[in-house]
Amino acid sequence: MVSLQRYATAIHSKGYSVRLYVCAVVAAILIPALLLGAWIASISANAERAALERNAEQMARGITALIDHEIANTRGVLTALASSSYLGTGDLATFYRQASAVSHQLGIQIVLRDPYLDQQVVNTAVPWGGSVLRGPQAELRTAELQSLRPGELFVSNVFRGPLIKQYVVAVLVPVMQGGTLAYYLSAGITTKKFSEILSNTQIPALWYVTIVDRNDVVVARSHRHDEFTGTKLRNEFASTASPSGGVNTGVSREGILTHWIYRRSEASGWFISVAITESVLNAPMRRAFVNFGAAGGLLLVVALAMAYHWGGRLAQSFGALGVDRSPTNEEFRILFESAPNGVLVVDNNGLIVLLNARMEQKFGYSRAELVGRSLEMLVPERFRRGHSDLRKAFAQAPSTRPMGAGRELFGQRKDGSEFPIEIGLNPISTNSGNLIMATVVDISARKRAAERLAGAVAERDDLRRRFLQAQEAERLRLAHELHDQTGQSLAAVMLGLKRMDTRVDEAGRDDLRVLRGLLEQMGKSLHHVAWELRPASIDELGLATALANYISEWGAQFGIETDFHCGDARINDLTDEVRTTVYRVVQEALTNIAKHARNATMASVLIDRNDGTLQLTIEDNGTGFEEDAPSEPSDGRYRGGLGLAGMRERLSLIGGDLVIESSVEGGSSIFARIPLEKERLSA
Amino acid sequence: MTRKTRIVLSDDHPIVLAGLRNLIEAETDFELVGEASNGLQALKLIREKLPDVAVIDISMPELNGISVVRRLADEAPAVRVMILTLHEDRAYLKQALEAGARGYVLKRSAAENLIGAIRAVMVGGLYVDPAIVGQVFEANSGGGRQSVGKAAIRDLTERESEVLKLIVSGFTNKEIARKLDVGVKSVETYKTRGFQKLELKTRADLVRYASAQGWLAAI
Repeated sequence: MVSLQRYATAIHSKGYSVRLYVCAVVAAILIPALLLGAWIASISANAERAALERNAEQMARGITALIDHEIANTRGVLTALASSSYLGTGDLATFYRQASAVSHQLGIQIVLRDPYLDQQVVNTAVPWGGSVLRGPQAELRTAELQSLRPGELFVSNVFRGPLIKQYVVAVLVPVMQGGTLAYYLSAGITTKKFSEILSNTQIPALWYVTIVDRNDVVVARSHRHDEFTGTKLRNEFASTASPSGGVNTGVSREGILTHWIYRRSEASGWFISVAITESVLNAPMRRAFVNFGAAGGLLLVVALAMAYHWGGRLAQSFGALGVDRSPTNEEFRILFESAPNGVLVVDNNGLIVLLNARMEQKFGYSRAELVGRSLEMLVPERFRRGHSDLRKAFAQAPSTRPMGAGRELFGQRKDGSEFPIEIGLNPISTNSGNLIMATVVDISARKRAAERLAGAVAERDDLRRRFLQAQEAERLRLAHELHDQTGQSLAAVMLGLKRMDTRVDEAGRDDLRVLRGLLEQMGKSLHHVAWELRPASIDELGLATALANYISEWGAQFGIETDFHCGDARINDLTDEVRTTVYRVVQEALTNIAKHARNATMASVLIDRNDGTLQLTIEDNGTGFEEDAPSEPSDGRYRGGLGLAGMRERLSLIGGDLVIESSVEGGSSIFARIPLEKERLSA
Repeated sequence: MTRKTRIVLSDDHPIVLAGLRNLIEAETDFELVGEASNGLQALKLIREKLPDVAVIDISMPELNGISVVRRLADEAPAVRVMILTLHEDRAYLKQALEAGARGYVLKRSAAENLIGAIRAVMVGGLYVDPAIVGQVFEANSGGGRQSVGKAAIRDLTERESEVLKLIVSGFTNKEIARKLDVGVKSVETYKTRGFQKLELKTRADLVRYASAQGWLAAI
């Protein structure tokens, strides 16, 4: 649990993977660069827009100049006519002819009005002598009054000419005679004239030029002039617009969002507005963003894709370089799927959340059959109830540990067959709750191997036991042969030689005595060999007696005081195998003392029986060895297979064991313990 | 003239028996009254003939020599029974003497010594073959130790007493140290002091002492 948390922390502190890290670095470099590019593109788009606006302003200025020029020309003509001598003489008929010529030449209507009579006296639109109009138009009268004031405007707003039935504007000049006002001379110019000026100007598509008079009435328009001329604007414009010109935004008469730049004509007080639709103005910006967005986005996507791809390679390279790192997602997936053991993730309710391919393969279920189902379906029927209780207990106190320590666990395949398994449990804490990860190992092969090994070991032990038994039997046979058969024969030969004493002379008797002496030595040797092989006394007199005899002979031979105590009255009831082992262990231990225990003056052998265990203790008071010495068992006095190892082996074959305690000053003790089962006791 | 010494021989080995017969018959004052080749036969023959001396082997079929000696000690105590054997083990000698045998002669020295041994036994002696008589003396001096101390258990401290009891039960020093939760060195010290106080030298001594004091039952 702790290690898992540490691992999770490690992932967070190291980043999820090298791959994502590389992607983040690329993004961190690219995104600011792209933003800078976008900024530069927007600046250039804005400059383009500004250039459009400048063009519009220049156009407005140019058109204003053309209009002013037209009006000034007309006024010049009127001023010239006003100074005509026929007016001074009152020869109005001649003036009419003069004015009519100018009117035809310039395409304008010239009207002379007598303000005192309040009637037109000359009008080039009608023949001389025709009916004349009384009273002026409202717009004309305002213009007449204005024209009297020096420095004021001398152009009227738009009005409808009653005779020619067209929208016109009038340019006015007062005619003064002797310092007093005599007539108003006016030139009517149809709005068509201005429309033509606009038509003669190169106006790009989706640009709209409108000329508006001081009353917000349209004088001329670049598009649909005839429809709009003489109509009033929907909003007040002239009264609110800046006299020096400006910029405004609004919806055009066509219903299109437009941006317009206007100028005021000094001569007329009219406004000339050049409107450009927003779509045209924004086109550079839009184009810039579309192009840049496409290019930048593509660049970013390609760069990230390459970073992701090469980042993955980089992650592998890091591993090859020995740099510690987190596994990539792909590596994680491969690890999980191709793990040699089954891996299963279960939630707190025992429902299967996740499993790898090995699980499917081992249990014979497909993934779909397992995910979301209870874990217990993999447990053999007879364990299910217990398993569910254990699982709940585990969920209460989760810890990383092997499952079912000391018990044999089985899994059940889809076909109902069982197989032995080993399970390791890891609790996992995730954002979506606590899970348990179980690692499932199929141990069938291992169990079979263990069984084979156990069988082989048992067979080997059996062979060793039989070997030792055969060896003992052979020794017994040999000892018997040497002792009884050969010994008897020797005795017979000696008796025979003795008998010959009476048949030979003194010298012969000496020879025979020498021969008998030799034979006696031979018999002695034979006896010793036979006794060493296997004393007949074990079988004939019992183990305790044979041991007592052996120990005292051993003590006499080596000059060591001995003490033997057998506290087991039933020692002769033991099996031949146990008795032989005890005898041989004592023999071996005493041999070791004689060989290795320096300064030993006392040895004791103790046999006792406690709780069904035969205890054999052999101790001496000689110089022992340090038990803590690293080479204790093989060094010093218990060297080699004939010593300690031999004793251990004999004991292990009858289930016994051996412990040695030794100290330099306190001598050594050998503790041999043999468990006595019922069957080891002979009848 | 003195009566001849009446002798019965018993050996399962015919050639040895023949050799012995020759040996006995060579002596004019000895009279061989019967021969047997197994234990039961020997017992029956000796009970019947009641010889002065019976020379019998230990290793015989049907009934071994020691058992024959033991039976005769009850049934015919007047017969001087001698063992003639291949066994040089002191254990056999001890058993034979305990059973009532008057002589113990090794077969390998029979040719030289048997006649002398029979004469020695006839005059009331006990004959043991010179080849093993040394062993007897050594065994007598070394065995039968009077090692059970005179000191009493009350002289022991509680710890010494505990340690000694556990030693009697067959535990190693290490095991005792673990049981009493003390060091191995301490166990050795308690053991040494306890042995000194009780005037004991070996584990075997201690076990005999414990048995005498009734410790074993208490454990």
